[in-house]
Amino acid sequence: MPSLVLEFEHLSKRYGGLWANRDVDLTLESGNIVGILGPNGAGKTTLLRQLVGLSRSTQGHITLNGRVIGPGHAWVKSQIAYLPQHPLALGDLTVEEAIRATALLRGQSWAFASARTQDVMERLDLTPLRNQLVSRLSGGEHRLVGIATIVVAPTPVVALDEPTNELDPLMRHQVWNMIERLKDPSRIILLVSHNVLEAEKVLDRVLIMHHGRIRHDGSPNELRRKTDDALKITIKVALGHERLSRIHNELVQETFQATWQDQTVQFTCPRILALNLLSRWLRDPGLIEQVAIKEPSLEDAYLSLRQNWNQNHSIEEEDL
Amino acid sequence: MNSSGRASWGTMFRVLMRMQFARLRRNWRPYVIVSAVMPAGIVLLLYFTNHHMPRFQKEDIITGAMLLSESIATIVMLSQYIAWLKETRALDHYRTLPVSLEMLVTVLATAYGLFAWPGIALITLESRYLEHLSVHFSLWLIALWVLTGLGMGSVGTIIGLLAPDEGLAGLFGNLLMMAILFLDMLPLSSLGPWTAVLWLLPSTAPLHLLKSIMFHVPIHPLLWGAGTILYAACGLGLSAYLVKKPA
Repeated sequence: MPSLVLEFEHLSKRYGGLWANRDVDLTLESGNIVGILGPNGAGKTTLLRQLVGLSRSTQGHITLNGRVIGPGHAWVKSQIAYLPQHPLALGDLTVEEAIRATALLRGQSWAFASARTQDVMERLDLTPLRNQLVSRLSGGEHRLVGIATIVVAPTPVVALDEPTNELDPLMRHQVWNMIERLKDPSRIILLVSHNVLEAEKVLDRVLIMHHGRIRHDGSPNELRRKTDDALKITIKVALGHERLSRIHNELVQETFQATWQDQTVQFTCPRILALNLLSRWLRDPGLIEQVAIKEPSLEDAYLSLRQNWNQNHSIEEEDL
Repeated sequence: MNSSGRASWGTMFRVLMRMQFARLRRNWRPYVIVSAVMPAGIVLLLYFTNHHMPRFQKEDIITGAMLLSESIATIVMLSQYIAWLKETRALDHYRTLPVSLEMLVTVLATAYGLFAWPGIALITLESRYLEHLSVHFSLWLIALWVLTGLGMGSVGTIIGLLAPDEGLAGLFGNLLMMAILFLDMLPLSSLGPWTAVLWLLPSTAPLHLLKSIMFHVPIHPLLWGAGTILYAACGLGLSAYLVKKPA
């Protein structure tokens, strides 16, 4: 039985005439890393802001182990750590001071806070920046300090808004490792990310929001299975205008969205169609130089679902 | 997993105070010098232009200049800082840190009040060595300056929270500072029907207490003391309410 249960019940938030999110019903249990994916304006950040009490819900409520979370409730702040997208209030402190100050504010002793600060700085390669003012760091370094303030004294619920924004690949790798290490049977980690491909490695559960509603809720594998009959094909077409035109026209005919780069084209299509196309093209010697076939990733599944929803949404709008 | 929760009140106060004083690393010039130069300059100007004014007028000028110094730091600069925190959403980070927001506004007002102390000390020296006024020192004076900082700082916080942006917060703060500059340096009798406005200013009660402590001007200390405490308490209560208010 999970030690923590976070429930969102009929949660909605309206700004003026616009619903940021609507009728969100969710139950999250400890021991999981839950990713909220979705396009810009889907209502992901608003959901996190409602969770940490920065935004008052228009309807519905959130409970943590049955206790209603409300804006300004002191106990909420000791239970939920939040990494916002915007700057931290710690800009005038040095990196070391900022991390230690957060640990102290989270009730740790000076000795423990100092030791943990050193440890976290080392893990995130922040030690060379320890005496730099947070406000003078680059965007990526600032983000790392934000992650460090969460990791230094983690709370039962951790809410991260785009934790890897502005980070270079190495930093992103370190941060995903840190997030994975935060996973604990008594903790819920909720993160919003655009970086579907990287998030895939750590997520136990994926929620996809679209137009303020949860459109998918399940494990990454379940999401991938939604596009199980699809294959991701990358082919390099042999040089020649005629050859390129032929491939292009056939893809257009089949209405696949393809991405071209010089001679290389990438597209995702149903397995049976992919086999048909490839067998046709491969029968023509000299048409294709290279072929790569992959199972779709979480990102492909996400993009494919998003494309469908957008089409349905346009149809719904046209019908109206 | 280590127990995570909330710091003791003492630790919370120390950490928050350190966060405010850390601003001086980069911004000590505007915070300390600006709040000192203008009020001290006014005292100097009056010394050169009207050296033979009566003693009670000199006392009015000195106490008014001290409160002006306090108002520059706590009203103008704090309101701009709060508006900046709000604009950049760094205030939201404060709101999610495990700190009491009542303590946050108290610490902000106290810290910004303290930023004006070098200016107040400079004006004290001017009054002693230029105007040859005997300034009496008492421990009550420290308590009074802390309370004054809290009252004025809470007004600065409210302006910063209500102003649409940093520029307008500065404008509103400056307008209030000008009111303090003009109204507190004038004798009450010269204000006529405008005397009522004085009760709205965070500087009125401290002004009377300051004159009483520093220059032994007879007043009702309990009345003005209660006024100063009440102003600070109401101001902090309102600013804490506004800081807590979610979107």
